[in-house]
Amino acid sequence: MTKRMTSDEFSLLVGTYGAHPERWPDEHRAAMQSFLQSHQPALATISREGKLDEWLDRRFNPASDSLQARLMADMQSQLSSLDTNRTTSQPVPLSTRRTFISAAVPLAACFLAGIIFAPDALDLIFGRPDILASIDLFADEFLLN
Amino acid sequence: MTAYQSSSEIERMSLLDDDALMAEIGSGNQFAGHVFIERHIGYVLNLCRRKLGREAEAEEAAQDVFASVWKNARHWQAGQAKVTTWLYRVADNRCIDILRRRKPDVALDEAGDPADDKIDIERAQQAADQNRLIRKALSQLSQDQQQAIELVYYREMAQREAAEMMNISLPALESVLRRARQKLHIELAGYRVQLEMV
Repeated sequence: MTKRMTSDEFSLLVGTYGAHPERWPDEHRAAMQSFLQSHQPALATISREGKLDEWLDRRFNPASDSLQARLMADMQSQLSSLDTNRTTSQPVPLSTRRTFISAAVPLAACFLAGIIFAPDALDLIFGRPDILASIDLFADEFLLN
Repeated sequence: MTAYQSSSEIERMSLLDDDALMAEIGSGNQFAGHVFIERHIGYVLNLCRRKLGREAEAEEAAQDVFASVWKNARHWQAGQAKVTTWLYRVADNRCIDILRRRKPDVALDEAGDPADDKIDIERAQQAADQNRLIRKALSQLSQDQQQAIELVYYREMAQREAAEMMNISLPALESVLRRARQKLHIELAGYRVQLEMV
């Protein structure tokens, strides 16, 4: 004996899993099919969701990673022989970009800290404010501009 | 070239039409080649899959089609033909060669007449456009919605298995799927005419 289904339950399940019975949950499939046979308005829901299923089927299966890699390698070797004017036209892989960014940020921070604190630190060590005043001025100039 | 320059160059290339992209490829620009592969791989591979029916052979044919692009891009004349039409012809010829290799006597009949060819090219272009629209609509979904559709719809995974893989409960998976389909209805409503062309 299958559980009786309401119109709301039916719409909710079809709206979740689409119009194909094979995608419906096993425990509800029989009840949904019997509801569909006895309720004409349910056909409108099936038709609407079936349209979306049909559209989703129009997506091509993507190319495999190995094919994409082979195509990229072919392209790079073929085009590098044509490439006479460009010195570094090879796209930088994402991992290289991340490495670059992760190295650049701490370097920039160190440089900035050096500009700010170096004059005071040198003043403290050598006690020659007259010589170091020019460095301080340079640092102020750099930060303000 | 820095990573920033590299990605902005790819962005710049992706704004070019196919003819301009061919000109860039002809001068050895690998960014243009990168964009060209991304733009046309689905179209070319799908054509080869339809004609050959075997994934390994379809991949082999697709690889040869792109090899033709790299080789001929220098001689490409803008406006002479659509790039996709030319790709279709190259793919078609390559598939015929592979079919011939597979079954020499049958393959000669596969060439068909030019009128059928024209209809086939239009259909292939329509299919590629529809594929692009669907992919665009799918990309508008949230990460979990995309994953749920991918697992349940495209990989035909059982609901419980999909929920486990996503580390969520079954009711949560159902809710994600429902919202995903609602959003897809909205996203695709504007493209009804294009999507209903067969």
